Amino acid sequence: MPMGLLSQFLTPYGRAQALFRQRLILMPLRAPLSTGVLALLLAVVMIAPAAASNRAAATPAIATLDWPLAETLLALGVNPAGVAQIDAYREWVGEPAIPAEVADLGLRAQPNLELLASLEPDRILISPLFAALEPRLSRIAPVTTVSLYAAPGDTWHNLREATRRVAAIAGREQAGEQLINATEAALREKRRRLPEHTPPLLLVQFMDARHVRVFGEGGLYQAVLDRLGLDNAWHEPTNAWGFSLVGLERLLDFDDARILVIEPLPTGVAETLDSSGLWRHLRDTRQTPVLYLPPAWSFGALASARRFAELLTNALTADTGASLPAPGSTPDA
Amino acid sequence: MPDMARAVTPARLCLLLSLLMLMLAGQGLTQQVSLQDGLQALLPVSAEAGSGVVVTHYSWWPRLFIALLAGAGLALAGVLMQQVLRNPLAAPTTLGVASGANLGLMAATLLAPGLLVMGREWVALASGGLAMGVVFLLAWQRGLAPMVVVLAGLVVNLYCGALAMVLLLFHQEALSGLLIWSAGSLAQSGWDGVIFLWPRLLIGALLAALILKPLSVLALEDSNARALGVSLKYLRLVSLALAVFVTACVVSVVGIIGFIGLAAPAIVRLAGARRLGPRLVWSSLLGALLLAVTDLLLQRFAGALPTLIPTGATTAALGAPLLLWLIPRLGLGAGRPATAAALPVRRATPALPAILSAALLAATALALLSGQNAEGWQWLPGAGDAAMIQWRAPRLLAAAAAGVLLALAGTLIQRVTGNPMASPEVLGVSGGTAIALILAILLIPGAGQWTLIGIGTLGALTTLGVLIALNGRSGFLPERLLLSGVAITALFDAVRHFILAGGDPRGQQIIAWMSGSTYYVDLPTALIIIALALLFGLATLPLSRWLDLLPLGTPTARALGVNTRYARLVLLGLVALFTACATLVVGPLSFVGLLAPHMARLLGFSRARWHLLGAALLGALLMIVADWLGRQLLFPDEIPAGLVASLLGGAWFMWGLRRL
Repeated sequence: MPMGLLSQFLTPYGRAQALFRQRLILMPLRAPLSTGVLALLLAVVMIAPAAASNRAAATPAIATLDWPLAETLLALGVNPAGVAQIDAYREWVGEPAIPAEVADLGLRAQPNLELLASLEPDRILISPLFAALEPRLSRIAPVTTVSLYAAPGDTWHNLREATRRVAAIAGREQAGEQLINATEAALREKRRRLPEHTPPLLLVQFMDARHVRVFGEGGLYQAVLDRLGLDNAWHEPTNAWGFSLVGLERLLDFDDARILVIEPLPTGVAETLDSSGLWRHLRDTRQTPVLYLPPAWSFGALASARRFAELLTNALTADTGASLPAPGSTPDA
Repeated sequence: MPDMARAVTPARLCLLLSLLMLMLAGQGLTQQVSLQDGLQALLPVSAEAGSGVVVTHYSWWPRLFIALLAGAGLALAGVLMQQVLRNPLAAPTTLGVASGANLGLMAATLLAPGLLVMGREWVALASGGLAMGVVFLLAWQRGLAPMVVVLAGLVVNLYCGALAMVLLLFHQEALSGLLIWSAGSLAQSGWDGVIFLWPRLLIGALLAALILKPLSVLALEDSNARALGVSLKYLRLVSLALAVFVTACVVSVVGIIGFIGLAAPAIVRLAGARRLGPRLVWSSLLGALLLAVTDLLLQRFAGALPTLIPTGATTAALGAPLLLWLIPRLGLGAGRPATAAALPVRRATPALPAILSAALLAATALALLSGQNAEGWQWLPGAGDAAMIQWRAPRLLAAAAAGVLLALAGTLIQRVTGNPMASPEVLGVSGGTAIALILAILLIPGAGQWTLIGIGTLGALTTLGVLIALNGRSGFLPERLLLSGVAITALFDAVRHFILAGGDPRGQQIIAWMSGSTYYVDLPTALIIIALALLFGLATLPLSRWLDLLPLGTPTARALGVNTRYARLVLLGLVALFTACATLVVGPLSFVGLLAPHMARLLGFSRARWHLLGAALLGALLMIVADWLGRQLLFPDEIPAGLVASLLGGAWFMWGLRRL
């Protein structure tokens, strides 16, 4: 493995090594790395430690605090220089995976400035959520704010625009268009696969045994439902992130809706629910059984949207095969 | 008082509230189903029942019962604690039970989820009991003296709170469900809660009835009670343990609903119930009704909102103004001897300030010159990357300045009020500033730093205005002032819980700021704040005569020629100013303001001038070390300085308390 060998060579030169490692990370991982190119790069790094002139040509080193932005970068084939709270990203977003070399910047709300400065990124991407940090971050590198959810208007449109902006910053405009097209094509294909008559859905995530988030207008899930031509049963007002936090009993008002529980259930909740009279009633008196969906990050970008669409479609199609049809339903052609 | 006692009796109050509750309950019930169906829904319903009946059976009725039970339980625990501690501020939350249970549940969620499957209530009960055990342990040497118990409870509370904040900072997503619980939601989805709670409360009530007679004796001074042949230690232990048991049961089912346990006993006493027996009965009734009425009102008006409005946080928010109204009416003895004076004091060696200064210098060097980056530890003289100083210097300066300001504010307020529990946080100025800032973060998207600073100052000034308006007439009596502060702090807690329970992703930012971080300080701000700290420090020195005389009590101070009203007003103004400055920089967590004056006193700085100096040095030292440790311990994650200071200081303080 030439990479490891060369790194060992460089160990005495701490900073040069850091710079070098950064360059390597930024290359598409599968690309053939000939030793010649490496030697050249090494020479550049050794001779011109600042490497400023070299920087414009390569993909810029981008650090980001925001998970959806990190997700988008990764989906574009760009490895970020650093992402905040990588462990939690792995737990809650998961796909696309962050390679082990990407530096963990610490908390999203308080990224480690000393570490970030020592990584010397070319650009830092944030969402409006972290606007208060901008003056500080801009002393390290130019800061670009990309808004995913806070902007008014159609969520899907915002997601597309955000993807384009991130792609432009990363110098991957083409990959950006490809990502958008591929995601939309995948959603169209899912839409065709979906069963004809799907009842309105209630997308719920359990917070504890008595409270659920119900996803509605303004969120990622709703945007996906719209693209798939599915109805959301929940039309109540939602917060800025596209969900309402309500007691479990509110779900009883939606007799005809199909309940989709988005996993994971918090610890102990499954057991508690088994003995909850209300939930047993909700679960057992429905025409359609409750469905469980594996986790997909509810505040993500296009990659999360695609994953959610896939999980949703799989769940709905698998289920119709197994438990329907009722006598009155439309016969399959 | 006498004219009030005639018009308002506990019985009339409860009758009025029951009528209100019945009316609201009737309305709430008939909104969903007919009255007859609604009443029938008390009995088990069949699977074919309509959704209205099902909701009524599984959710509406259990919620009403749980509200009544929880309110009664908390009020009962409150009366017991206030009786034992002879302190109208004692409440189920004061002794660390609620925060201990909270911390235990958080830790279990993250570390040992298997425990939760066995039952959340048992985890809450065990950890709440453990926290209380620590409080007992700390106060045991002093025969569980009321003041020491309250102090120990306060410290354990802060300690558990700080640890919970650390967990929350790093695991917000995983703990989002728990945040709803800790904000106190009464929503029910079956009868399990009621079935769990009622037998336990019944046992608690029976036990309370059993120890009623010896408990009444506790209202007397210690020596009198002892003369009557009552074993004070064990009596206190038994009654506190009972109160904790009841609290933990309630808390484990419905979460933290703090205010009822404080308010119900206070109102009942104001309404004229004097003897312990009637106070227990009426307080429990009143607590039950208060919580049920609040919850019914909440269900009626908050149902349409996209976010959950937790009942526990609401009672705290509604309770705060009520407490402010109650304060002038509470019969608080003004001339009680200052407990602080009773603490043993060593003589300070003259070298002590020099030693502290040297330690301060060493800490400064350490914090400026060492740190970590992607390649591990870096020592500046070797690595030669001086650019790091630009990140470290502002934080160091801000930490030191905040430490000095809070320590000065703490020293002033402890001397003015003669109360060792006093701290800027208790006065509510931190809380007021924090409320304003939280609202600004939420309501003004992308607000800049200067906007936030402006709004924060406004919040501090408003709080100060409220404090002066409420206490001006009474001449700023220490106890009343503290109570006003507690009310404002309760309001702050409520706001915080509303926001955290709602699961808003911006909560992370607010938690980060609230836990007392120097993260957001830039160099100009840091220079301004350190200049202010030095200036204010010098400005307090001429006031040391007041500070020496005021703790001796109002009559003595007055006899020695101090205009006590004026002196208190000036000193409190300074406290508010110092606190606001520090809060704007490092958030509302001001454990240092409680701790530094205490440490200074324990080290032997007893005269006001030296007390101020020692506290300021200690405050700066504590904050600098805390800030540096917080940045290194979990690198690259940063633990806010305020939290580290709480954890370090809290440990030291508990050790010191044990020795007292």
